[in-house]
Amino acid sequence: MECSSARLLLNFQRPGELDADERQAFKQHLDICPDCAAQSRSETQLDRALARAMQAVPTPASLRARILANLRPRRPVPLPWIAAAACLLLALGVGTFVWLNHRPQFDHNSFMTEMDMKSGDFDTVLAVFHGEGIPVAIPPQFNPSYLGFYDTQIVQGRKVAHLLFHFPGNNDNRPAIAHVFVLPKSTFNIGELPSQESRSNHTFEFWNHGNFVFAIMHTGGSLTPFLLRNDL
Amino acid sequence: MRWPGPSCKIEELVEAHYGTLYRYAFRLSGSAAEAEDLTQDTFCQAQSKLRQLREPDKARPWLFAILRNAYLHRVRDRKIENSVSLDCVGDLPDRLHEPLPEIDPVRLQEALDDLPEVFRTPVILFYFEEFSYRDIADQMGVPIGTIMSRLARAKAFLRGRLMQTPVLIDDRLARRVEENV
Repeated sequence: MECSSARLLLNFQRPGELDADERQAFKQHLDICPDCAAQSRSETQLDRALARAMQAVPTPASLRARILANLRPRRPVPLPWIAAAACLLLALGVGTFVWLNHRPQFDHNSFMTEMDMKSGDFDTVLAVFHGEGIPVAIPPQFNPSYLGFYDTQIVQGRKVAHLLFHFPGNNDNRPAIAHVFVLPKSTFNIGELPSQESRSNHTFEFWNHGNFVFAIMHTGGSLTPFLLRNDL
Repeated sequence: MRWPGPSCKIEELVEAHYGTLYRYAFRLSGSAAEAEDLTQDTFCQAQSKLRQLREPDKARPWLFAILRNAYLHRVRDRKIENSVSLDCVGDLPDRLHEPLPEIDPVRLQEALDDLPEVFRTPVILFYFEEFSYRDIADQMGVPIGTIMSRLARAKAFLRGRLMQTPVLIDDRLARRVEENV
C-alpha cells in the first residue's frame, strides 16, 4: 500500500469500517511508514478527543420525569382484527345458543303416527282416499297382494295418492319396488308423455287410465312381476 | 384486548434512550431548550407510531431518525440555519502536533452549529453514538460514499476550527453548499 492510499483510510480506522484485507494492508503500511503511523496516531487521538467532547452534554435531572409526564395516558386499544374476531365469536355464540334452544322437540309418537305405513286391500285404499277427499284410482293390473302401503305425496305442489308395491322376489325375478303416483287429469294438465323411460337403477312408466295418469317409478327393469297373472 | 405496540413499551424506550436522544438533540440544535423540546417531541411521536417498530433491537436508530426529522421540520419552518462552506476543506487530514489538547465542548458546539446539517448529523452520529458508515447512510437515506465524503470533510473542518487551523468561512459559499447537497 502506498502513502496516498493509507492517508485515505485514516478516517476509517474504527473497527468494522474496513474489510479484513484492507485492514491488514493498512496495518502493514503503518508498520513500515513512520509518517503515516504518526498521522494515524494523530487521527486516533483527534477521534477520541472529539468523541469525549461530543458526549460531554449534561442531561437535565428532571428530563425523564417531564418526558413521561408528557406522554398521553395509555388506553387499551382493541385492534381492528381483534374486534372483528370478537364480533364473529359473539355472533357464533348467540347463533348457537338460539339454534340450540329453538330446535323442535322430537316427538317419537307423532313421528310413528305420521310415518305409519297404512296397508290394506284395494277397497280399503279407495275408501280411505275418498274419505280424505283425494281423487284416487288403482291400476287394476297390479297384484293387490304386493301393495305394501299407501299415503299421500306432494307432486309439483299438489297432494296426490301414492301407492307402494313391493315384489319380494322369486326364482325368476329379484325383489323390486314400484311407486305409483295417482295423478288426476283434473289437477294436472297432462300433455304427451313417454310410455317408458329407463334411468341407471330405476324406470319411469306413465299409464293412462281414464281421468287419471299413473306415474310409476319402479326397480327391477320390468313391471311384470307386480302384475296379475291373468294380465300377462 | 391488548396494548398497542409490538413488544416494547414507550416507558421502556424513554428509560433506555432519553439521555442519548437529548445529547444528540443538543448537538444537532446547539440549544438546551430546543434539545429538550425535540426529545419530548420524539417520544410523543414514537408513542403514536410504536406499532411501526417491528424489531425492538432497532429502537435506537428508529428514535434517532424521528428526532432528526423533527429537527429538520423545525429548521425548514424557520428557514434559517447558519452554516459555513466546506468547499475549501480537503478530505485528507493534515498532521497535527502531539499531544492534542482536550477539546472544549462549548467550542465544539460552536463549530457544529456552523456546519450544514447534512455534515453535522453524520459527524454527530459517528462520534457520539458510534454509528457505522452504513448505519448513518441508512439513517439519512443517502449512499454510503456520500457519507464517507461528508464525514471526512466535516472532520477536517472540525480539526481546523478546534485545532486553530484557519478555515474559510463564507456565507455565500455556505448557501451554495446547502443548495447542492
